[in-house]
Amino acid sequence: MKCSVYPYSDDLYPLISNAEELVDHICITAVIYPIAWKKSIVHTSEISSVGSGSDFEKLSADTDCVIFADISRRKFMYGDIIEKAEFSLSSGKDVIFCTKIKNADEERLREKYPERNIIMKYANPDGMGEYGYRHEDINCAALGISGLYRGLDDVAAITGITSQFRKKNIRTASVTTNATLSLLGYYHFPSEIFTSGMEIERQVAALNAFFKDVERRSKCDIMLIQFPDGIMKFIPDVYDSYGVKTFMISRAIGIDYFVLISLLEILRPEAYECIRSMISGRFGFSLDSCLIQPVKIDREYSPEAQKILYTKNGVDKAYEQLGDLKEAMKDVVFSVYDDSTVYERITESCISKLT
Amino acid sequence: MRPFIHLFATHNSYYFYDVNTEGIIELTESLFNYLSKNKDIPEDVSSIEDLCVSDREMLLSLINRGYLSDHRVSTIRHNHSDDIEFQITNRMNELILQVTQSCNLVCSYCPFANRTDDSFQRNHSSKKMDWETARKSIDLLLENSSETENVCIGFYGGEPFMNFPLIRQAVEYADKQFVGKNVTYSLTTNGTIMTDEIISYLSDHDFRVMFSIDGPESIHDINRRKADGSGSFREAVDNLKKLYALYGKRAKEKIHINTVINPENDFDEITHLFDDPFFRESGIGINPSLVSSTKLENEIQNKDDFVEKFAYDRFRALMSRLGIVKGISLDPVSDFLALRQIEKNDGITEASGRLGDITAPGGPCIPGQRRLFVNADGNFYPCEKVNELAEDTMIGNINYGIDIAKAERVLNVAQLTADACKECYAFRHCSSCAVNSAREDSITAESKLAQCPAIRKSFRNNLRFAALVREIDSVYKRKINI
Repeated sequence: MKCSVYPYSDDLYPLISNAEELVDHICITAVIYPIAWKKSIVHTSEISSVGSGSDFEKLSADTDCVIFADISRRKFMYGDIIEKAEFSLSSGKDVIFCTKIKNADEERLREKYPERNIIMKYANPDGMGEYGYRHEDINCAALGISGLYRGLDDVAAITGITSQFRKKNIRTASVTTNATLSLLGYYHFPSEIFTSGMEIERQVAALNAFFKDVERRSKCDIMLIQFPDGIMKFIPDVYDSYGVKTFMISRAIGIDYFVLISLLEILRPEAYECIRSMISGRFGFSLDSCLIQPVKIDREYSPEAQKILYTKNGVDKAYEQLGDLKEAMKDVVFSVYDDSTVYERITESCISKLT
Repeated sequence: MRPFIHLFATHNSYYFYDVNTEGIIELTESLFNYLSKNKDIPEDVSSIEDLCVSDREMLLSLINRGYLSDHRVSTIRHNHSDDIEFQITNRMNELILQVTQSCNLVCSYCPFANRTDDSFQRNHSSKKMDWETARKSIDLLLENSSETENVCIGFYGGEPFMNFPLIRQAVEYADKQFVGKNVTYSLTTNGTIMTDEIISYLSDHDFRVMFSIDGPESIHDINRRKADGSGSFREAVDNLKKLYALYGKRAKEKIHINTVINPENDFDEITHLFDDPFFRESGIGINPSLVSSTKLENEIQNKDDFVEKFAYDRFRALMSRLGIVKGISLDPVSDFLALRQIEKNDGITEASGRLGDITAPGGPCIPGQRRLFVNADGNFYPCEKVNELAEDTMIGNINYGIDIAKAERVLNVAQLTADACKECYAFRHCSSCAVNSAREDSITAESKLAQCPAIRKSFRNNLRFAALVREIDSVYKRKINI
């Protein structure tokens, strides 16, 4: 089935770079981004078989289905998504929503276009309170991936490591916060649990039930989990989760291997000793791998923007100091984000630790 | 060594502000007097014979705890000097379009009206921005905001509604172009020429609107007059009420009143505006500001008791906000100013780290990144308050783009006064930028330094207030017997 994806951003590059992993006979032939995002799209030209641009009508014309990507952090696009979904349905295409839409809109679209397939691909939070306080053992191994702070790119890491495990024919279930990655057969993390208003113990039980359900359905040997938010708070003025969500996940499932996404300005071995001890003390799991993303925090504007802003930076310094880190912490796989072999090494390290 | 500190006293105690650590430390009177007389103190504190043993011990303890350092900035250079181009070309936040330079009012204190010389600011004119300039400006914001999720387009005048068709055209264009970003619109208006069509349009597009209302009719109409000399209060308030009704629940967040306080008037009379139930109960935010003489040709003469009443009401509001006095009614103007004072106090927070070796005083934002002001001719400036006649503050043009080198010079305006800045105790809290430093066609060290006394005075007031807040528990509550 020829599909276009809208709104496309570079976060979704794994969808087109790992095309062979797409499920449900999906074949992405076009990615469409709002014109306002044009400058931040840098990777699409690398895949010649996929058309890209901002002309929705033109680029979606030759496809059978339009996939609406997860825009949960961009609520202001909701009206645009519904408008374009309606246009697509009226043009005889099916639609897949990886972003949550209102029940009223879903009902209206189904009623108006009964002959079309309207597929929902995001986690359904209904019934999450039904688990009570029951806690079940999860038998598969679990690998956690998280940024030190919110906003560090862990999508590339989870897709890269998932691919490596799949290549080794290890049954892998990947849980991601971006519902669009369900097109690669990933499970969508039910973030609504955290805002459900249930008491904390029931939230942990619901998380445990979700992970158990993923294990049952996938029969996986290893579950890869992309944690929502970072594991540490940055500064008081900026919203971040204090690692609370990570802590709750660590109560719901035992994490056997942990991959941290860190950033360029933290390169001293002493800093990582502190981070390692913090991770072990707070969450009860070890620091096994660390990927250094070539960015720095924009300390001046982050408080004003009320979120952590990162500024891209060269990786030369990171490569220079990587030797010191590797020497000081021999049991941790350290690498810089653009290292093409890193996911293979992390996978090997994980297999070695767990077998 | 010569500690980088500022000594100050309140009615109750003696203090120093430590520039490096941002600490506000209480001193004994004798130690205060010693530090006042001796700008340099010996490395070996035990050798100071002018101090008693306990003062010497206190001094030594402070030094050991990291206070009284003589460290000063070695080079004045803004932290974003190296990545200013990235910031401007990827994180542009706000675009302000001067859609017209004309205004239907001739306000007596307006820096753009009634000018006989053009040293500090342009005069009103009949110039209007054309669509091509507006469109290119919006495209520029689009091009340069790839890393900004929330962008704002503001409309400025003159009176912006003198060119409403351009506003509408710009909004319609931007709505289409900025899909994928959260674009918001704002404008400041005198509120006098808003038709029902305009009011509906503002509501439909969720504009943030700032109305200029200076007080009750008797005050407002003294300054805000039409060309025929008649007042403008009635039209402004009628339109404000219509807009308020249409905005419903959004009104408190989206509609604000800009109250320009002229010290030539009676402060009590200004606050009579809130005798009107609409202003008292609507919950619309008030942003008061004092008329600045900086850009006016004639000095403002304070009314005899203005300062007394103004300061007293603000003091009452502060006492109320700090919980010292309860159950008193406050006018929103004084209350807003008290809140702002408390916010400034919160900004003086200890342990934000020693001053860097290479850094710049507080004050300038990144020109063109935080906001880009485009005037009717298509020239670029760091903001709408800047002197449009000064060549130094023009950071580009719609035809050739943003001049990064010039923007960097504006960002590093403190380099003009580097020696003075390095020694200034208000370094971290300076508010000086190119906006107020431009005279005639250039930014000079002289014009920049001319602002320093007022900035330091304001900072000294903030320090005294910070000390007052500390004294509340230990001194005032005891005295008032709360």
